[in-house]
Amino acid sequence: MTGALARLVVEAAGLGRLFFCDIRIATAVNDLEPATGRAIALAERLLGSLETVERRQRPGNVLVQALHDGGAVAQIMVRQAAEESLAVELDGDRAALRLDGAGRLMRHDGTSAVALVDAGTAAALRDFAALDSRSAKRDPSKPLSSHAVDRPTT
Amino acid sequence: MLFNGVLVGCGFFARNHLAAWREVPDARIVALCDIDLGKARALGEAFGISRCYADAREMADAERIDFADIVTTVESHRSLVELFAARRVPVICQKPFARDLADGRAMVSASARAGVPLMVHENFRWQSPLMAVKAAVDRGEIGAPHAARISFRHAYDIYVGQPYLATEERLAIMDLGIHLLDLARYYLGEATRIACRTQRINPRVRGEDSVSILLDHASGALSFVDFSFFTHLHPDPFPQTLVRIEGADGVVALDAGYRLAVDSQRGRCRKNVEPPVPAWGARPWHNIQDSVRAIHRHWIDCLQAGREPDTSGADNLKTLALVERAYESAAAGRPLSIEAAA
Repeated sequence: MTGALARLVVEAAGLGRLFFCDIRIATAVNDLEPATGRAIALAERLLGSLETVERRQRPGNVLVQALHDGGAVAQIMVRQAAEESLAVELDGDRAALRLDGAGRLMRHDGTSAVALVDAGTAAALRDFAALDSRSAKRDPSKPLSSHAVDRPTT
Repeated sequence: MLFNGVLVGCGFFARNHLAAWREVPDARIVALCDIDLGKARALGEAFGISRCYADAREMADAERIDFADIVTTVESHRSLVELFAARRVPVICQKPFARDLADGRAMVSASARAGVPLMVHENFRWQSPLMAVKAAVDRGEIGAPHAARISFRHAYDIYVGQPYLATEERLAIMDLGIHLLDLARYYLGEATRIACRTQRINPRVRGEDSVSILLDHASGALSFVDFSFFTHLHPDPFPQTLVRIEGADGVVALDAGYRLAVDSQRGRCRKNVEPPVPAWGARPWHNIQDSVRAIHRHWIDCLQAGREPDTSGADNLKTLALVERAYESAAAGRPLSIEAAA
């Protein structure tokens, strides 16, 4: 990882206790599995190993709600779209990070917001595409929790 | 016709109700009630209302009224709704409507038996930025909605104005999530399944203050509803609800700063949908204050026309059912199906 995503991982360590991560991906590829796997891999880089608790899919969308054993929650929304984008929200009990769809990474602490990286959308997407989805501790296509449900909702 | 109403509960939010009633020309509040009579008198003095009571029954018996506006906390809702229903007085009741579904059903039944309308003050549906999102969906700008995220994350010190919140065992879902779950129904229709995770982040509070909810809707759509009272952003977006709805033909998003964006096959549209600041209001509350005026207007329109309010007690039972199932899902650590609430 380089650029905005690498900085995201580094800065995550300074947010205090991490409790929430939201990753939103729009991918031009019809098969949503690779992007879903990369998003889970990114969430695990940020929060630690995740148990895939809930996964829903319908044509053009995948939603995953995953849980770290420390209580932190990751939400992942993957969508098929002509225009690709990536956005990440990460909340800690002392500060928060926001990577917006234009590739701008900001650190917020409640009294100020500091721009950390302004790499542009294309660079952020290149970073994301370089993530190895196999690095995810869990197979993104298979919910492993005893409570997991994997059923198309269409 | 001029509708005469009474207001019960002169705490934190009552000032917004009274100021908003002044902007509804065919309604007026003629008396106030609070168990702390001093509070009622202080508010009455500020709003030129001389008749103040410490007992709702005494007020209901003494006043000739067309409706009651209940702005108390949830514990007193059932007894007050039943008190007014017994006198065939229509009621508009603050949220959360009921502690549980049994109380909610009892209030709906009492009003139905009396043949009087009952509306829940579910003001989020009346926030103009959120209505703008709904309008874009209803115009077909993004096609059929497939997925959504409804989010409300902040660190605004809500405990200053409402200190009781810090000691509530059921905090964020009951106080805020109830609005957002109602919005999920409003945008995507009824939910059939819920998976909820809760956390307590702020050590000063008793209940959950960070929540993630995944909903399956009967339409086939999916949604995330997430909210936090301990997310340190600058500027703090409180009290803005952020919404993103993805459809077959595009996306509509309401971002911080009341920025509405529609991206569809028809093109891109960017619009500022910030509501006006009422003459009696102030930022950052203007979004909510404006919606109070709008929901009051809707209530009087419904009384005049004899039609059921959009956020009737019966409708709100479905939102209450989601709230109960959210807590049950969080406690069980697994998704649960949603049964019909009525």
